[in-house]
Amino acid sequence: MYFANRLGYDVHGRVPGSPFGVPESAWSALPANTISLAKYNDAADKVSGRSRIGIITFQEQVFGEMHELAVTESILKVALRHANEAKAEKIIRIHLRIGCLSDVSDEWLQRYFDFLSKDSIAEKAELSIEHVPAVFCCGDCGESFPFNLREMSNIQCPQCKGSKVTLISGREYFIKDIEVM
Amino acid sequence: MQEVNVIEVKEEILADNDKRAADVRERLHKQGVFMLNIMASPGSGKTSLILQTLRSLKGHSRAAVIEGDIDSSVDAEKVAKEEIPAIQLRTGGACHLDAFMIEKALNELDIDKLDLVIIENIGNLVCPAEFDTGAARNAMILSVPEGDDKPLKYPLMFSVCDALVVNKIDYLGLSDFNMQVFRERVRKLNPKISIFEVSCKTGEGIPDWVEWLKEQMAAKIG
Ligand SMILES: Nc1nc2c(ncn2[C@@H]2O[C@H](COP(=O)(O)OP(=O)(O)O)[C@@H](O)[C@H]2O)c(=O)[nH]1
Ligand SMILES: [Mg+2]
Ligand SMILES: [Zn+2]
Repeated sequence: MYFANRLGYDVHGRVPGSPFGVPESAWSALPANTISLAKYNDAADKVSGRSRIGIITFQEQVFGEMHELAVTESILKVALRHANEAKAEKIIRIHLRIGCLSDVSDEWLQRYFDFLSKDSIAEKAELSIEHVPAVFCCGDCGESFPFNLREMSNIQCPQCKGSKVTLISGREYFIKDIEVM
Repeated sequence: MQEVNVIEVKEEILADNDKRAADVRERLHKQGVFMLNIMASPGSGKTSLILQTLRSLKGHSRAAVIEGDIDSSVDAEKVAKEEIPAIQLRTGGACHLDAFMIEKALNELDIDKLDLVIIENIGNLVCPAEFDTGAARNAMILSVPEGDDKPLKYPLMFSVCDALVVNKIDYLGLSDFNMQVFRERVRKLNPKISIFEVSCKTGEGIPDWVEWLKEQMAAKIG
C-alpha cells in the first residue's frame, strides 16, 4: 500500500478542483497568500497572516531512514521491464555494479528486494553485487591505483609519491544484466 | 529443465530519477530559474545559510525555498518570516529528496515570478548525494564541529558538489579542525569544487559565497 503511494507521490489530501489539497469552501477561508496546504487540519497552526508556506506530505513509509528502499524500487522496476520485454517467466539473479563511494548495505538491499518483489516474477531473485573500488589516477606520472578511502587518510601515488590525484572510478551505480528463465 | 538466459541491461540504477531530474533542469533553464540544492548534516547550518543568503540577495533576485524535512515545518516557517515563499516537503521517513518530489514542490510555486529556488535537502551526508534533484548546482555544508575527517567517511557527497561551505569557522579556535588537511582531502575527491569558509553567526565569509552564487546564476541563466 505504501509502495504504490510512494511511487505516485500524491499530495496528501488533494481534492480535484480545489487549489491545493483542501476543499473549496475551506480554501477560501485561508489567507490569500497561502500557497498550498496538505492537511486541512493543520491549517490553523501552520498558516499565520503573512507567511506563505505550502506543505506537501508524503505517505509514511514502512521502513525508516534508508535510501536502500528507493534504490531497491528502481532496481526492481528496471529488472521487471527488461524481463517483460524478453517475455521471461522468472528472474533468477540481478548483477549490479556499485562503486564503493556509495554507502549501500548489501544485506538491506536484498531484504528490501525480497519484500518488494513478492508475488512478482522477480520473487526470490538474488542480487549479486560487484563492488567497484575507488581508483585514483596520478596527475604526475599517470599511474592509476585503487585506494581504500575509509582506512587510510593520505591519498598518495604508490609509484611516485605524488599527491595530485583524481578520482576515476568508485561512483558506479549500475545494473549490468539479469539472469532469467 | 528450463534454460537460463542472460539479458544485458546496462542501465543506471536510478535512471528514472536521473531522467526526471534532467527534465526538471531543462524546464527551469527555459524558465530562467536557477535551482540550488543544499545538502549537509542536521545542525550544520543549512537553514542559517539559506536565511543569510536570502537576506544578501534581496533586491537581486526573487527567491523561493523548498524545505525537506521528515516531519515538521519549522524551517519553512523561518523562511516565510523573511516574506519568501516556502514549500515544506514532509517526506514521512524518506532520508533524501528526489526529482519527483521536487517537481511536485515546483508545481506549487509561482515559477514565472522567480529567479532562484533553494532546496534545503534532508539532513544527512549519505542519501541525498545519490539522488539528483534537478538543481543546476549542488552545494554542501560541513560545519567545523563535525571534524575534518568527514571527506573520508562521506566521499560521495564531497565528490558530487560544486561548492562546499565550511560553516561555523567561529569555532575554529576551539577545535582541532585542520583546515589545510581538510581542503587537501576534499580536493582529491573533487578538484573542481569551490570552497568557502563562513560563519553564519558572525556573517564572515558570506559575501564571497553569495558572489559565487550570483556568478553561477548569471552563467547558467544569462
Ligand atoms: N556558532 C555558530 N553557530 C551556528 C552557525 N551557523 C549556524 N549555527 C547554529 O547551529 C544551529 C543549527 O543551525 P541550522 O541552520 O538550524 O542547521 P540545519 O539543521 O542544518 O538547518 C543553530 O542553533 C544555529 O544558530 C555558525 O556559523 N556559528
Ligand atoms: Mg534546517
Ligand atoms: Zn605518480
